[in-house]
Amino acid sequence: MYRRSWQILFAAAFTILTATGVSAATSVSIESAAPGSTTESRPAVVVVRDLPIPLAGATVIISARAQGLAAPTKLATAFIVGSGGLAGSRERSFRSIVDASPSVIEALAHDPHATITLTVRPTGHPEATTTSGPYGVNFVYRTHVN
Amino acid sequence: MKSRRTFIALGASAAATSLGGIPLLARAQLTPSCTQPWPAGAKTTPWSAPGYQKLIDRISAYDPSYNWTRLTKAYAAMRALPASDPRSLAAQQNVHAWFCQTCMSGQPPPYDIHGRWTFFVWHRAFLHFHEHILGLLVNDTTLRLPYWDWENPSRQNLPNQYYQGALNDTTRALQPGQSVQRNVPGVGFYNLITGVPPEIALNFTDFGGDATSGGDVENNPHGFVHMSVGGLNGDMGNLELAAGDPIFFAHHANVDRLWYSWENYNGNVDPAGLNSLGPFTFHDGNSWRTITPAQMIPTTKIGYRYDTVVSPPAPFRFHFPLVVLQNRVLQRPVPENLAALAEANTVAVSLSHVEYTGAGAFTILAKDATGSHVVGTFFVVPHGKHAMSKAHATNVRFIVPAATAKVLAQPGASFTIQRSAGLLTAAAITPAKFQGITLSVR
Repeated sequence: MYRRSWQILFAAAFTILTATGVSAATSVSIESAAPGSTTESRPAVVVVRDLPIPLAGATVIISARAQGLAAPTKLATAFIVGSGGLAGSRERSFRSIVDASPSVIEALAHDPHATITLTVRPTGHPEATTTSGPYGVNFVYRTHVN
Repeated sequence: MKSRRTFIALGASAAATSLGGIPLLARAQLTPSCTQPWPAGAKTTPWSAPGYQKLIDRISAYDPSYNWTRLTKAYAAMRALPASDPRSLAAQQNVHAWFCQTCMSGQPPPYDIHGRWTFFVWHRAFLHFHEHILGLLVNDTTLRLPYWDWENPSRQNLPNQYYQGALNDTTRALQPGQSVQRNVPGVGFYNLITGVPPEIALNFTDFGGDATSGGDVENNPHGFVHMSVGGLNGDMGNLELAAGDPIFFAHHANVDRLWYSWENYNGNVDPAGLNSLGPFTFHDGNSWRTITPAQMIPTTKIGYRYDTVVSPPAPFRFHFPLVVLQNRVLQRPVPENLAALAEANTVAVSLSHVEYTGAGAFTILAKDATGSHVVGTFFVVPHGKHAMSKAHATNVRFIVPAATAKVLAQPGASFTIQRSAGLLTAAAITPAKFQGITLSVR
């Protein structure tokens, strides 16, 4: 009972914070090796910048829509550890390896209308899940080692 | 600051009062004060490596030669120290708490060391001084922490020794005999086996982050293992409490081993910018000292290395689709593809647009004349009543033994999908519905 009340309070606090504090600056890009480059064997990554993340921690699911793909197709995840007693959120930037077959990346690269959606599921509080996007797919091709 | 552990302890106390003294929640073991670890005005002096006579390997917690008696004795001594002693486990926990978002939210580096490239080097230093203090407490500075190599599919249970004596922590969600590779309630699932090795092929920014963003290792395997072990209420599941659990150090030794593996792969060089970070302050067992990241790179400067490294898998070089109709394989692959399959070390099976309804664990099975063979399992977390009643589709990819791949490439092989919604719910098996299946071979 005591814990449930705490959960409701937390969920309410998070909802208010995300409703009023979603950053307009959140951006997403996919970084992958340029075809034929020396880094071609390196996995692609999704780069998320300035996404509000609950201080209690969250799982972020990065999913995509593009012609020829099941919708939505999961591209990557991120498990961000936080502290369960904290309310509020903070903008975080992170990189996650693409956990999808190369054909998914190809589909995204060839569809100018492809989009990416970010789902933030606060740790332990799926009822407070939020979704942001859709974002246009911004590809960055790397040709250098670092 | 009133910590979350304090809150849980209060809740447990209230419950105990109302239910005749029977505690409903795990008793708090440690409570970090979340105060600056070194006293205000304390003198900190620059640290210099003492000149290690020889390198000593950190070895796996699953290595039968690991000296558990010594480690357990050291942690017992560390736990016995008063919290005011900077060598105590409570004080060690507080050092990590101080440098995480709980205490340092919004502060610039070097205070908040998570979520950016300070993550690797700060934890390497933290483990080094923690290990050194453990060694001093048993008069044996050859003591090295074990690493828990959770990326190894046969080593995904928390090592048994960590459920015993001074190495135990009663707040863990992960139970003896349970694999860390699981669908964590309220968190989700991450495939450590197929997710970790490819990371070694990333560049440093993607692997370990940069000045403003966290890398993949921190946010995927590292974060997932924390949540799987600690769950929502355990020490490991919360940054300010995590270092109060001795498994934290075996977990982070493996995270450090991944960085060591990266440093020793393909001529990789750490970014020069790491050297400008810090300085950081730690207690070396005698006094508070300041260190620079450059003193921690490479590990040979601080007297250890790892006995094994993680290598990225070779890329999949050969892909071919199977001809299927209504979930049944129609044709044998052409001879060229069969030859590739016969010589394969590893095969990835990619299924596109796999349909499912509801939540739970969905296991795809391939059936032939010899029986059913597991292709792989994906997990769906409950996400609202309306969405749960609708059919969804997803693309999935599994690594399977070559023998399984040969079975599912045979004409007549058929696919089913088995949904397990919970321990008390009977599994439902239905024909699998998907659009295509591709095998990738290396």
